[in-house]
Amino acid sequence: MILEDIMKITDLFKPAPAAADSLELRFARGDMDAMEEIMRIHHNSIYQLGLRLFASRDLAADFYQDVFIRIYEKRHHYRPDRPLKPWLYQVALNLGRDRLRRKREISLEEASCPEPAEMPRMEEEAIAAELKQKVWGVMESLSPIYRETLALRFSSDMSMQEIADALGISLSAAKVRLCRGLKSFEDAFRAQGGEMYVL
Amino acid sequence: MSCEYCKDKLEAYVLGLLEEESKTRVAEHISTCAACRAKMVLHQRAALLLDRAFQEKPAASLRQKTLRRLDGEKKHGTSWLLWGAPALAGAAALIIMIMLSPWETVQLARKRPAASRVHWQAVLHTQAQEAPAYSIRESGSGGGQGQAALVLAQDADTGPARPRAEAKRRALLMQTPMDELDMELTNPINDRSIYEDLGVATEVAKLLL
Repeated sequence: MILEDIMKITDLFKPAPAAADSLELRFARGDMDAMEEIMRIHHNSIYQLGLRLFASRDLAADFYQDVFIRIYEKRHHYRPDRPLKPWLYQVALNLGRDRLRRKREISLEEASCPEPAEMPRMEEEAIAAELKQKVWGVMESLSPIYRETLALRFSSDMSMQEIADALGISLSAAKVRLCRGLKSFEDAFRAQGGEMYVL
Repeated sequence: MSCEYCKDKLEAYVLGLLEEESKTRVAEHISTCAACRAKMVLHQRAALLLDRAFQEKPAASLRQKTLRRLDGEKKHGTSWLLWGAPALAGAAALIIMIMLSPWETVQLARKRPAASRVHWQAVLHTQAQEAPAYSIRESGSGGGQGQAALVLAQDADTGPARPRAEAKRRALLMQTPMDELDMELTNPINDRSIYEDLGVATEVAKLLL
């Protein structure tokens, strides 16, 4: 009887059963399952961010791998009480900026536009290969600040505030940059003889 | 509502960046103005191009490839710990040995009491200045005064010694009181050349054992 009472008392001091740890918390601890889950969630968007930044499948694939490796290495800098997505894109964007700086040193000949033959069948059905090639080329010709803003806007489902945070600028500045980026894309597209026909 | 009002807002309208009130006003205008509507459609198509032209999926193997790389780096980090920790400890020990004064290193080699420390510093300094002249003297067990006997004096002077170094060497040979030597020969440990002569000094120390 006494033993039972003691057990009851000690139970009072036992920590309540913890709810399943959040993805953010598990990631910060270096849990590889959490890492895999993050990769699954952002699989397409990080690759497409790379495509928009570099207009190259090879570079986008390298970028994809390096982004996830970088965020895993930098997990100790992440605060699990904050949303993961803006932090992830901020790390990705910093990596992308470094790559763009280096890419500028590469000759234009090596800048790869998609070859129509490489394009998947479904994509060919959705959009003309020639048009697609032109869009990639125009995107690549844009100023990096417009390219990264457009890339974030069209690759992720982040809010404008999150995009502004990732860019490290104010919300209003991010909106202005996005509008100018779109305008800049249109002007460059027309300058290269592109027509805004329906996709 | 004028075209002028809409002119700078059409991109923002297409991109969904306008506040509710502005959005309504622009929508009302373009429903009645064909020119602005045409501009808006162009912005819309540009946005669509930017959206659709990059809608590609990465290769299915890319995630697995990245995970393997992550796993490899993790293992590499662990294996580094396995061999890296002892190597690091060894390197740290080496650095500590290097950081130790020559006297302390010699002392370790000879396992002599610390009482003769000042004297050994002086000897090493002399060596540094005018090698290969060795002047080795031991202090008495009490330290303090220079009552020690000359254990070894090997002069193989092959060139003109520097006056200051020579004075120090002579002071040693003349059994100058240790306290004076201490004052005179301060700062010998920071002399980089001492380290170069450390090997010689250690060899000499072995003779004294």
